[in-house]
Amino acid sequence: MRPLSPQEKRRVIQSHPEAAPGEIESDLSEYERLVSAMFQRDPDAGPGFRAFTAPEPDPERLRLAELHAKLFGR
Amino acid sequence: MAGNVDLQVLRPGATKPNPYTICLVANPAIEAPWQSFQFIPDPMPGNGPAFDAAVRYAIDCLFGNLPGQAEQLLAEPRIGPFVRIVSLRVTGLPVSDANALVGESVFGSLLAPRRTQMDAFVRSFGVTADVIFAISQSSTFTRESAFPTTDDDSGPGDAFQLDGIGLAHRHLFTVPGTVAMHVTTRSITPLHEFGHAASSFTNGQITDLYVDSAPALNCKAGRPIPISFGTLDAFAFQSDPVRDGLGYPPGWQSYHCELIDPSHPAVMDDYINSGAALACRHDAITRRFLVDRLIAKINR
Repeated sequence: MRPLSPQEKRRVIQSHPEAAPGEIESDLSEYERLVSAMFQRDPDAGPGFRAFTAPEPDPERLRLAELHAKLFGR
Repeated sequence: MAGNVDLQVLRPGATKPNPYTICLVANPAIEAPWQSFQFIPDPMPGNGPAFDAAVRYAIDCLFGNLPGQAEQLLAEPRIGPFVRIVSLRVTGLPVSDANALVGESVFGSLLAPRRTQMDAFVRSFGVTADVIFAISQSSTFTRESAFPTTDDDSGPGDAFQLDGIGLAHRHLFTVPGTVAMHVTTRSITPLHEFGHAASSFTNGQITDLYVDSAPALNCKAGRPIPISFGTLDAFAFQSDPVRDGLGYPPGWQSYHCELIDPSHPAVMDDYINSGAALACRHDAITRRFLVDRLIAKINR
């Protein structure tokens, strides 16, 4: 997964002027870690990978969705 | 029903059955969003000049031929001449599940490989590839990603020891390494994604170093950072105590292997923000692993 460019990071941070200092940077860092982790699991081996749409997604998937909603507002 | 099939052998590789092969394919359709089973057309196959330029860029990057590029992984004399490179561009295909080789992932705003479809697609045109790059001209998603190879662990391989644990550079795969790449890709992104794709889910996985990743071949976790990173066969590697000069952020648990060139971040680290991406090289254990693995596959 390509690292985000400085411009891409800045765009996300600047879209949250209400956030506490460092809050969005920290959330974005965790978000990126969870996105990267999606590609560290064999999608065809074991449970979890398609769990976004599963009835009971795993906690990492739920956390990723939560951070996505906060950072990108959708 | 295909319109025009443009299949080109850009490098013949070893003259043997089943040479180590990398295929770069123009993506005909996009699953949007990823895992939705909804599909839209990808204009890439109809844009031959842009596809050819992206293919040339990716190959130059893999072989270290970009101006000033330091990492020349596939230019290694024991590797480069034996790697077969194929490009495939097919026009006139329907927008369908089988022809959608990438998905648009809302999470990460990235292009994601549809690896099973990629493998089946290139095979349907007579190509068996160890690593497949699907090149997309998505209008909104430009960020690349990759899946490692799923090795055929029931098949032959060259045994090796990673930190004393027996693994094997498997000669064959059940699913090839896959990369979803955008036609506008630049920097050393093709080399970075190839690092993931050429690695293995079960016999050494190469992970992103710019996030606090879980342990993998090139990443370990724990504090304090030990002097010794680990061993690959008879070779011992030190840890990188300072993370390429970038520094490990407070709270991280992961740490990396020593660098070949300590003045620049590793290829799998944050090369985009390094200011000198072309100067980045793989870290020491990643490079040795990739060379060993590619040579094992070349000699299969």
